[in-house]
Amino acid sequence: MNGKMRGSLVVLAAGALVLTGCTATATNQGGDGGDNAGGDEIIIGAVIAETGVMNQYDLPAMAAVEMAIEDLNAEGGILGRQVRLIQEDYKSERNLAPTVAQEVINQGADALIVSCDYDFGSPAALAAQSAGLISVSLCAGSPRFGPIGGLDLGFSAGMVSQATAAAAAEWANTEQGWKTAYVLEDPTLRVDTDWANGFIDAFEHFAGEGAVLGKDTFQNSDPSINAQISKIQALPTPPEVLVISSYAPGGASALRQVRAAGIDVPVLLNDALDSTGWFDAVPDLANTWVANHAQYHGGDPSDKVNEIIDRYVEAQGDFPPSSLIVDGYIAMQMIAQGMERADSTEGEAVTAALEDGTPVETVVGPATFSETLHTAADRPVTIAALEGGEPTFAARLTASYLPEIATE
Amino acid sequence: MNAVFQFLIDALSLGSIYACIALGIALIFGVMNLVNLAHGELIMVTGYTLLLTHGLPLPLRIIIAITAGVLAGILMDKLAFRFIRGAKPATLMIVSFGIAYLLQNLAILFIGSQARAVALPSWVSARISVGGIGVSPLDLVTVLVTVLLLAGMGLVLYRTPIGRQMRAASEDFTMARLVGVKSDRVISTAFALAGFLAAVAGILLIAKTGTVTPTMGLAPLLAGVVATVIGGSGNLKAAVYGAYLFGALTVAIQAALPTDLVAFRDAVAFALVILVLIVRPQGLFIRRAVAERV
Repeated sequence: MNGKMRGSLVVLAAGALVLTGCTATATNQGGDGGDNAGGDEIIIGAVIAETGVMNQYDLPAMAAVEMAIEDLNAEGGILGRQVRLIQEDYKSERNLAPTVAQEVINQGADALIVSCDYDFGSPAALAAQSAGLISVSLCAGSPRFGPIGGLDLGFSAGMVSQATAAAAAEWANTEQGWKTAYVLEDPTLRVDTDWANGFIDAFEHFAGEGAVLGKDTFQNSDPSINAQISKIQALPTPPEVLVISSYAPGGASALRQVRAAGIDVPVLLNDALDSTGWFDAVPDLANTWVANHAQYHGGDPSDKVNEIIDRYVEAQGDFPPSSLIVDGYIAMQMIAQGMERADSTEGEAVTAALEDGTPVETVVGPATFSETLHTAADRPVTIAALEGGEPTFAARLTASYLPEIATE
Repeated sequence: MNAVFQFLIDALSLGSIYACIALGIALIFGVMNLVNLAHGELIMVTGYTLLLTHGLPLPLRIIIAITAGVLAGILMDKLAFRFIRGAKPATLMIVSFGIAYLLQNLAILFIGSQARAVALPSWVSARISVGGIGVSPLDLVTVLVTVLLLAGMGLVLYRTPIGRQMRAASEDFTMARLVGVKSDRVISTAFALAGFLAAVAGILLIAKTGTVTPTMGLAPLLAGVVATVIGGSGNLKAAVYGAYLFGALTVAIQAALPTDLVAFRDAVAFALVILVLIVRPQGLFIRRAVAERV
C-alpha cells in the first residue's frame, strides 16, 4: 500500500504540475507573405488570441482596431501612408507568441498590437522590441507593461489599475458620500491585487484614516465564500460600500453569494469585472457599480465612443461584451499620434515621442505616458451603474490623487 | 458561540461538496487504480448542460444535467479507458489528463472561453438568518443530499451484487475476474456512479456560484484529490472524512488567519497536507498498514 501510495503521489504531483498549465505546445506556423518593410504603406501586425482563453478580451478590441484603421485611412493614413492590418493567432499560448510575432515582423510590420494582458502580451512585445518596433497591448492594466516590466518599447492602451481604483474611490467618497468601505480582494491575478490596494490607499486618502473597515481575500476558483461573508456580517456596523476586486467567474460568484446572504449595501466592482456575460449569475442585479473604460451600451458623453459602439452593433449584431473595446481604438490612436509626432515608424523615435509628456488625444480624453509609465494613469475613468441587466453611464472622472505605483 | 455554529455550518456545507467529489475519485481509484484527472470535467459537462437547458423547468434541467454527467462518465470509460485496461497507473493518469484537456478545449471551441452565467431562481441561493447565524437553505440541502448520497452509496456497495463485485474487484482484480466477476461491467458501473456524484456536486456548486467556465472542474478536482489523499487513497469512508476535514480546514484558516495572511490560505492548507503525508503517508483515516480499498 505504501509503495503504491508513493507511486501514485509522484504521479499526482506530476499531474498537478500539468494541470496548473505547464503545457508545451508545438509551433506549427507556416507560410509568410513577402517583405513589405519600407514600402508605401504602414503595416500593423496584430498578434492576438483568436482562440483560447484570451479571445474574449482580444477579439472585441480588435474590432475597434479595424474601425480605427478605416478612420485613419479615410483621413489620409499615418505619415501620409495607408495603413494595412495583418493579424495572426497566437492561440492564447504564451510560448507560441514570439514565433507568431516574428512571422508578423517578417511580413514587414511597422508596429505590433499585442494581447490584452502583461503575461500574455509581453512575449510578443519583447519580440517587437528586439526588432526595434513599438508594440501596444490592447488593454493590459498593469503598470509593468512598459519599462518597469522590461518593455522599453512596449505600451498599453489600458489604464493603470491603481489609477482606475483611485478614481473609483474618489467617486465613491466625494460623489456618493460613502464614508466607510470593505474590500474583498481576489489575489489570483496581480492586476486585481493592485486595484484593491490602490482603492484602499485612495479611499483612506479621501475619506480619512480607518475608512476602510477591513479587507478579506478569496480565490477566483473558490466554490464558496461563506467564511468571508460571515466575517462581513459580524462587523459592528455594515460598510457603506462593498468593493470586489476580481474577475469573472470568481468575482461574479462572490457578488451572487454576497447578495444571497442579504448584504444589500452598494457594491463597487473593478474594471476586470466589466462584462455583461456574468450578469445573469446575480439574480435581481442592482445597487451595483463598475469602474470601466467607457459606456458601451450607448449614452457615453463622447460621440466618438457612441459611434464606435454603433458600428460594433451593426457589424456584430449585439453590444460588445465589455468596455475594453474602446482600448482597441485607443491603441491605434497611440500608434498613429506617436508616429506622426516622431515623423518616423522607428521604435525608439516613436517611444520618445509618446514619452515626451504631451498627452495622446483618445476617444475618452487625454492619456499621458512617461519614461517610467507606458500605461496611462491619467485617462478619464468611467463609472457605470449596473441595474436591470444593463450598464448605464453614471460618471467620468480622473482621480485628483494617485496612489504610489511601485516601479521596481 | 454563534461564531462556532457559523463555522460548523460553513465547514459542513463546503465539506459536503468536496465529499461528493472525493467519493467519485476514490471510487474509480479503488476499482481501477486510476487517479482520474478528468473527473472535474464531469462537473463541467453537467454545468454546461444546465446552461444549455436554460428555459426548461428546473427539475427537468437537473434530471437532464445528472443524466449528462452519468453518460459522460460511462462514455469516458467506453471511449478511452476501456482500451488501456491493466496499463500502469501513470499511463492511465496521463490518458485522463488528455481527456480533461480535450473536453476543456471542446467547451472553449463550441461554447467559448468566457465565463457564462447560469440563471437559476434566486431562492436557490438565498441565505437566511436564524438566531444570528447565516444559514442558507442551499447549505442545508447540500449537507442533506450528501448524507443521503453517502448512505445510498453504502447500500449499493454493501447490499447489492454489483456492489459486492465492485468491492471484490478493488480487493484483487485478477482474482475477482477468475471467480466470474465481469470486470467491464464493474468498471462501467463505477464510472456511472462517479459521473452521478460529480453531477450532483456540480449542480450544488453552480447553485452557489451561478457561473460555468471550461476550466470550472479544476479547483473541485484538486480539492477532491487532496481530500482523497489526506483521508486515505481508495478507501471510500476515509475519502469522505478527508473531504470534510479539508473543507473545515479551509474555512477555519479563512476565518482565523489575520487579514494580511489570508492570502496564504491555500499555502497553509497545502502545507498541512504535505505534513500529513510525511507523518501518515497512508492517510489519516486508514488504521491498518494494508487497508482494504473499498
